[in-house]
Amino acid sequence: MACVVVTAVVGPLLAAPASTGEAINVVATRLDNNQIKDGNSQGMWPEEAGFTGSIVAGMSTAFEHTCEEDWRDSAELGGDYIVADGNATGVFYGDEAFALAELSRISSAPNQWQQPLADFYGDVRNSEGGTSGYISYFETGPEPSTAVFYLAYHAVASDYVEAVDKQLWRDSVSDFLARVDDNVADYPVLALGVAIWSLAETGELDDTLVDPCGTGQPYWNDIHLSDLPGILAGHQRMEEPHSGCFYWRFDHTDGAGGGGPDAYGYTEDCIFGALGLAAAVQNAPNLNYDTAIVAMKESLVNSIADDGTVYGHLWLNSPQYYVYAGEMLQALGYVVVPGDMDLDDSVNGFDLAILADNWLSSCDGTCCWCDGSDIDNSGRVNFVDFAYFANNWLTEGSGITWSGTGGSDGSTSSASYEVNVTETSLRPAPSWVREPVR
Amino acid sequence: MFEKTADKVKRLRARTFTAVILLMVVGLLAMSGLKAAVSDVDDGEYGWFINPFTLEIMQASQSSQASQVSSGGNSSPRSPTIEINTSARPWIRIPYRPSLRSPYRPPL
Repeated sequence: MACVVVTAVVGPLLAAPASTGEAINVVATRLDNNQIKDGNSQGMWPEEAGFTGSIVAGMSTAFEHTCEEDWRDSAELGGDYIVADGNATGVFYGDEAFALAELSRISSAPNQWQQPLADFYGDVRNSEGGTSGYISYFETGPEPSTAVFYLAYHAVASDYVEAVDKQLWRDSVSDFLARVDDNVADYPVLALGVAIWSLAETGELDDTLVDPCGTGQPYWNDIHLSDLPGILAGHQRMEEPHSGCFYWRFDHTDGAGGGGPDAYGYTEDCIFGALGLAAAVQNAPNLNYDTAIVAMKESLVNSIADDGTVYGHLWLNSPQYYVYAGEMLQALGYVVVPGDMDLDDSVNGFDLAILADNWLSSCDGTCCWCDGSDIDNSGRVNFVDFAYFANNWLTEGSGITWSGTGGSDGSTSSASYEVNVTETSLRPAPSWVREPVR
Repeated sequence: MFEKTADKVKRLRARTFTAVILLMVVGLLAMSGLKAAVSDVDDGEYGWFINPFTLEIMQASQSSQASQVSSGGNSSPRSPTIEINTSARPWIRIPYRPSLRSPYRPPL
């Protein structure tokens, strides 16, 4: 009754139809429908066994924001596949390790997922060569940006289970990032984005040098961790058309010397660019990339086809893979505005109704934090959550305060580099969108 | 005895809930008024207000954008907007960037 009254009182203030919520819904529904539900391959997605981790992490995120049981079931089925595969091979991919960490946050039996993860990092530590020896395989295995991708996920997962060598995993992220440049890496900007996300999730973006020994690529000479968000922001496209998305290379070309449309707009680069900037803001609230993040989120949402398909490029016709969809869910969940409980991209009376409905309730990840109203994930819906909610009251896509104190002083960071001049500034809005003609 | 206590707790919780909701409504309406007052100023002029719930000094969203602009050089602050492009999704030509990474995990 109270909720109805509240909704009626603030009725004139209500705004904006759902968008992020709808995006999560169509993407997760498609993933759920296309998951292999029985047989030997049960739990994986067709022809993408090696990417199950990223997809399961995305489905876990989708459940955490929506309480849709089918999606948790799907994530747990994928988790079973990951654990079985891990038992058979003895190792996890980095994104699989992260998926298990995410599953343990939403599962009623968290130990089922946490234990294999803790065992894995213990086994790596006790193996010949230890954790450092295991990490050194990445020097000769994949190209450097792929190495950064997997090590970044390992760093977050090992931190989650408080692995003894978690600092070694974290250090490996910047170590391998220093090996990335346009000449040797397939995904330079993606590597930078995922590295920032990982480093910010596991510690401070401080004055530590990315390449303290000077043995990496020249691009990273005298660059500190605190410089990384500014560098990433410098790789966001400022010019029309298609402003707002990210270039995929540091030199902003298409890789063949040209600067045409193949130089920017790849979905994964934009996903991890958004994750990197959002994580940087959460780590250092004096940074202000709110408008850039919102622009990126809108770009991502609008790139999703009506049936939930996520393509490799935001607007060009390009291959679709389920892994892109899983990563999309991770990104959309990560950049939801605190207080936007119904995911309609506006903190309004509908969210207040949800908050009131859950007032003083106790909850955890298994019930998606009381429909999202336990904003600080403290286990109880109280005035702290209301303070977060009030901070973002009537926010509709811009001017977002991502944390209790963030984004209000307009602070900037800046740095000049050989290739790019990067300075934090208001990012222009994207003026483009994909058209779902297939 | 137990039932009486349970009833009391229930009543107390209901009263608390009602009181909190009323506080929320009053607070949010007050905030709405403050934000409306802030947004009433002319374009290019921005204001500050105190968040009554956190007692933080906050800057209006426009002000946040303006300060970014002043440091970044973009002269036309605006909210992100998406314009619908009605043209067909053009074919990608030469994908210099590989579509999909090769999954990698070292052996133990």
